[in-house]
Amino acid sequence: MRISYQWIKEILGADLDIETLGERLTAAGLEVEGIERAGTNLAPIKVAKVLGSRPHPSSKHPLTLVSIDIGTGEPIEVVCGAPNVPPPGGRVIYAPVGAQLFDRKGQPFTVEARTIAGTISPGMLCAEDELGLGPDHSGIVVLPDGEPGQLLLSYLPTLQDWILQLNVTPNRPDALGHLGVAREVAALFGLPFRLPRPSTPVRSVPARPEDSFTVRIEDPERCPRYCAALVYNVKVGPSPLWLRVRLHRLGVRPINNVVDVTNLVMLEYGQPLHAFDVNTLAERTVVVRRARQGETLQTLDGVTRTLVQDDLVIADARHPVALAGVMGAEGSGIQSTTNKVLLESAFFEPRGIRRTARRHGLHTEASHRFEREVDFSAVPHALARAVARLTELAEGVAVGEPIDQCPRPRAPRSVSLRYARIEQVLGTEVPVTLVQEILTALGFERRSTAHPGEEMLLVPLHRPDVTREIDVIEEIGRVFGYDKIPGRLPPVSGARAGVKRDFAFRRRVRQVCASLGLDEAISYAYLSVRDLELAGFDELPRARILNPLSEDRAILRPALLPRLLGAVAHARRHGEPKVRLFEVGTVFSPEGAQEPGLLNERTHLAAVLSGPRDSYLTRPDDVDFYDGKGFVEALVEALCNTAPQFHADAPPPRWAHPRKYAHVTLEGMALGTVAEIHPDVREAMDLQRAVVAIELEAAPLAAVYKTPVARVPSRFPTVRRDVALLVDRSRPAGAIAAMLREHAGAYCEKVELFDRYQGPELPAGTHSLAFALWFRSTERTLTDEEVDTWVRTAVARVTEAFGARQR
Amino acid sequence: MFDSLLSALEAIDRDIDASFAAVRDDHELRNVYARFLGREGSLTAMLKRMPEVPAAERKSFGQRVNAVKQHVEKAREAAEARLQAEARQRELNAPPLDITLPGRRPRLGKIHPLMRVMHDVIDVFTAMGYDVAEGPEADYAENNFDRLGFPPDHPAMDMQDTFVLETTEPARRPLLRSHTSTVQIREMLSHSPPVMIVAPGVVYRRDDDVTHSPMFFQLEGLVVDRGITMAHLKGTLDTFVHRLFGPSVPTKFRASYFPFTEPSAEMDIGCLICSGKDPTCRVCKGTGWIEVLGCGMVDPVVFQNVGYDPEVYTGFAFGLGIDRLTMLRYRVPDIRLLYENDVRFLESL
Repeated sequence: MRISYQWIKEILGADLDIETLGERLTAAGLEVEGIERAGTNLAPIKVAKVLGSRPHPSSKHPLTLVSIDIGTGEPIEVVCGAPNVPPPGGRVIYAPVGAQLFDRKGQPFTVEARTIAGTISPGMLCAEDELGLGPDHSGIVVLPDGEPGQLLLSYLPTLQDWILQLNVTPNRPDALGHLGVAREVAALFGLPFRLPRPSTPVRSVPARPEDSFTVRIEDPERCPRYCAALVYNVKVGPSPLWLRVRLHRLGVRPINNVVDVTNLVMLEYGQPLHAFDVNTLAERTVVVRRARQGETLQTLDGVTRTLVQDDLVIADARHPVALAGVMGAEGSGIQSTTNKVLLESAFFEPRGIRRTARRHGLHTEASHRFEREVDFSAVPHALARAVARLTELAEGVAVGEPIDQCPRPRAPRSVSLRYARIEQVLGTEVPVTLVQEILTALGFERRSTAHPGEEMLLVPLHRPDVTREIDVIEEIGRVFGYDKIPGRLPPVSGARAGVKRDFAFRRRVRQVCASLGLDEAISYAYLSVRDLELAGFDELPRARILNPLSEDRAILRPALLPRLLGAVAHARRHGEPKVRLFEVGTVFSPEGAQEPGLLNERTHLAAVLSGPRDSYLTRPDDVDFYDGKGFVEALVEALCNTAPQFHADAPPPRWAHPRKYAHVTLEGMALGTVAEIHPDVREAMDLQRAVVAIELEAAPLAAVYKTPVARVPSRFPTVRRDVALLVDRSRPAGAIAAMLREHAGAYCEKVELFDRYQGPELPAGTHSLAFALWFRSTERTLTDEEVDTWVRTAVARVTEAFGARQR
Repeated sequence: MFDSLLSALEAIDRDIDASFAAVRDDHELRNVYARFLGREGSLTAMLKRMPEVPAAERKSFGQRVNAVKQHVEKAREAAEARLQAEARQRELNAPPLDITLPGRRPRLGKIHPLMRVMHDVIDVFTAMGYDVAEGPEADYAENNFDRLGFPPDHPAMDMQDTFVLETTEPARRPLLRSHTSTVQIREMLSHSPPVMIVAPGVVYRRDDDVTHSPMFFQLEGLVVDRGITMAHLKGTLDTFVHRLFGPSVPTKFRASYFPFTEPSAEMDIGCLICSGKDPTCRVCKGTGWIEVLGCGMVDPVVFQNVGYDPEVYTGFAFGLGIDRLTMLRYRVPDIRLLYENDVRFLESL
C-alpha cells in the first residue's frame, strides 16, 4: 500500500518527521518498506501564461513557436510539439534550461537550450509524463489558473511529497486507506484524530418519481449492506492535476474524473466503490444475487468468464453487470458520454470475495480490500464522500437521498479486558492511563463492568481482526512499543521433546561422511518422472504433488541418487572431473505411510564418487566399485562399530552395473546398494565417466550401534606370516581370507590381503593372492614352530577348498 | 714356526685400524671385515692354524687371537658408526626440498553450509535447555493451517502457498508443510506442558525466485509453561542472537502478524555486513537492519486446539529461516545456489 505523506498531513493537520514516522509505523506493525521522495525535480518549474503562438516557419514537423510570459516581463519564445497549445491567456507549465525531466521511457534528462529545426528554444512546455506527474503524453499540461512565473510548487505545494510503501499484513484492512493510516499515526504520536465530517454535495436536487431506483439484495449473508447514490449531469473528462498526480503516485492509473473519484475515495476510506452508467442498467434496478450456474460475464479486462453459483454478482433486471467486489463488466461502466451515474458502496462477505477472486484468478484493488473486510460503518460515509466529490469535480448533481440497504446490521463487537492479563502476556506493566489512552486513540470505546480490574471494550468496525482479549493486548503492546518490554530468560523446564525423528543421527552421518572426504549436497526433494527414468529409478512407487510449480517438479523423490547423479552431470558439463558428494535426507513413498493419507518418509543416505582418486604427481586411476565399498565399510564402522555384509544374491537395481554391484546388509537388515552406475544410465545422463553410487537406508544404521570395548594391548610380540596362493580368479578372495582366519587358530589376530598379481607367466584365469596372517598372544611369546603349524593347517584347508596352490 | 705365526698375527693386528679407517661405504666395510673374518679372512686363517701351535702356547695364542678378533669387531663398529655419521651429514647437507611442490592433501569433506548454520543454531538452543523435536515433511492441512488458527478462505493463506499431495484420503488434505509450525501442534498434542523445543526441518512453498526457494529450511522454537511472557521471548531471542553473532549485534522487535501468535513480532538484527554504517549496503538496503525471524506469544486458539488451557499456560514461539542466515554468513547472493549442488560452490565454503 502506497501512502502519501501530504495526504496524512492534510488529515491530521500536523507535520511529522518523515524518518520518525517511518520508524514508528514499522515498529507498530505497519512495516514501511521504503520511502520515496516525490517531486524533487519540480523546484525550478514555473507556471507560464501563453501570449501567442505561431507555426514554426522552417519545420517539416508540426511544431509551434509559443510566446510565453514567465513573470520576468520579457516574453520568451519556446518551441512546442504538442497539439494542444491553449489560446493567449492560457496557463501552461514551463521548464527552464537545466530542469530535470523524464523522457518517454521514464529516464531522467536535463533540459538544454536546444536548437530545434533552426530555432533555439530556451526551455520547454511540459507534458504530465515529462514532469514525472503521470502517464499522459497526449499534450502539454494546461492549468486553469496560476500567476505567470509562479513556481509550480507554490501553485500546488502537495506536488512535493514522500510516498511510504507500507507492507500491510492481512489482519490490518484499516491500513488500506489513508484515513486508517492517519488514525494509526495519531495513536502512535498522541495526536488528535477525527473522521472527516459527512460530505455534502455542492449541488443536489430532490428525486423525482422517474428518478426512482431499485436495489434488491437477494443474498444478505454475502452482502449485508449495499449503499447506492445517483449523480446526474456528470461531465466525464480528465481530473484536475492534483488528483491525477495523487492517483499516479499511489499506483492507480488516472482514467476520467468519475472513475478517479471512486479510486480516490477508495484510497481515502479503504472502501472500494463502483460507478455504473445508469442508462445501461435495465429497468433501473440493481440486484445483488448469486450467479446462475453457467452464466457468463465479460469483465473489464476483456475476459469472458463462466460463473458458478458461489459467485456473487451485481445484476440489473436481466444480466450481471459486475462480479461483486472484484471487477465490473464491460459495457456497464463509465463512458465518455455517460451523464447519469450510479455509485455503489457495499460490504461483501470477505470469504466469498476471496473464493470468487481466486476461482477467476483475479486480484484487484477492490477484491484485496473486500477479502480483508472493509469498515462496515464507513460504507455510507465513503459513498457520501464520493457523491460530493463528483459534484465538485465532474459538475454532477446529487439526486435524492442515497439508498442504504442494510439487511444484516452490525454493531461493534464487545471484548472484555482484564488489566492484570496485560502484564501476564507482555511481561511488563503498562500504566493504566497509558492503556486507556491507547485504546481510545485506536477507536475503542470503554465500558466499566461489575468486576474490578476488568472493562468491556467496544471494538470499532474498522478493526475486524480484534475479537478477543489477547487481540486487545496486542494492540496495547504494539502501540506501547515492544522495545519497552525487557528481556528475560525463561526458566529451564527440562521437558523432553515428545515428537522425535533422527536429527542427531543425521548430524552424525554428516560428520562421518565429511570426515571421509565427501561434501554434503542438499537437493530439491522433487523431480520428474523423466528424471527417474533417466537415472534408472522408475521402478519405485511415486508420491505426487497435485499442484507442482511445473510438471518436471511433480514427483517427490523416492531415492536420493537421481538428484545426486544430476549433480554429477552438472559437474561434468562444467568440466569438473572430480565429484565426491553425499546427501542425507527424506525419501517419500505413497505406500506404507505411518499416518493415513500421508506419506512413508524415510531417511536415506546416498553418495556418489566419480573421477580420479587422490594421487601424488602421477596420473591417477578413476574411482571404482571398491572405493564405494570401502566408503560403506568405513561409514558403517564409524556409525555402528560393526562391519556390513556385501552380497550379490539378489539381482541389481536397474541403475546398477550388473557386474559391479553389491547389496549391503547390516546384521541381517537390508541397508541398500553400492554399485557402479549402469553404462546405459551413464550415457543417458551424460555422466561421461564411471560413477560409483551408494544409496542406503538410514534406519538400520541408526538402530545398530555397538559400544566399543576397550582392547588392552598385548605386551608380547606379533608374528607375521605371508602366504601367496595361486587361485582361480572366480574364487572369492573374501571367502579365502575368511577361511584362512577361521583355521589359523585362536591366536590369529587378522588376515589381510595385501597383494594381488595377475601375470602372463601364471596359468590362464588365475591370479596370485598374497595374504598376511598376524598372530599374537596376550600371555606369552609365540614360537615360530607353533605359528608355522597353524599357517600350514589353514593353507591346507584353503588349497583343498578353493583349489588354490601355495607359491 | 710358531714365532712366524705370532708375528703374522701381530701384523694382522697392526693392519686393522688403518684398513677400517680407509673404508668409504658399507660395501667396502663388508669387504674389509671379510678380509679379516670372512671365510678366507686372514684371522680366520689363523684360527684354522691353531693345531700348529704347540700345546703349551695354545692357550695364550688363542687368547691373543681372540683379542685381535675383538679388535676387528671394535674397528668395524667404529667404522660403521663413522659411516653412519658421514651419511647423516651428507643427508643434512644435501640441497633442501622443493617446498613449492604441492602437499599430499587428504581430501577435506564439507558439511553443507545450510546444515552448518543449522547445527550452530541448534547448539545455542540446546545449551539453553531446549530439546530437538521433529515432524514429518508431509502433513495434514489441519496441522499446517487449521489448528494453528489460520481462518479458512482468509488472505493469511496467501502468505504461504502450499503444495498439495495426491492421496487416497483427500478429506485429510495432506500437503507438504509450509512451515515447521506443524511440529508445534504435534509436540503439544503428544504431551502436556511444559514444552521447550526447537524443531528443525525442511519446508515447502510454491515460490521460486532469487530470494525464495520452493524448498528451504526453518527452525521452529516453542516454549510453553505457566508464567511465560513476551519478556521471555525477547530475552531468549536476544541471547540467541548474541551467542550466534556476537554480543555487539543489536536486535529490534517490531509488531507483525501471524495467525498462530498473538501478539506477533518480527525480529531484526543489526546488519552483519555494514553494521548500519553503509547507506549503500545491499544486504540491509542501507537501513542497518536485517529481518531474521518471526515470533510471538502462542495464540490462545492454538492452545485450545491442542487441549492446553490458555488461562493456565502461556507460551512463545518463533520461526527462523536458516537459508537467510546462511546467505548472510557466507554471502550467498542467490538462494538457488544452495540447492544446485555445484561442486565448485560447495568446495568454496
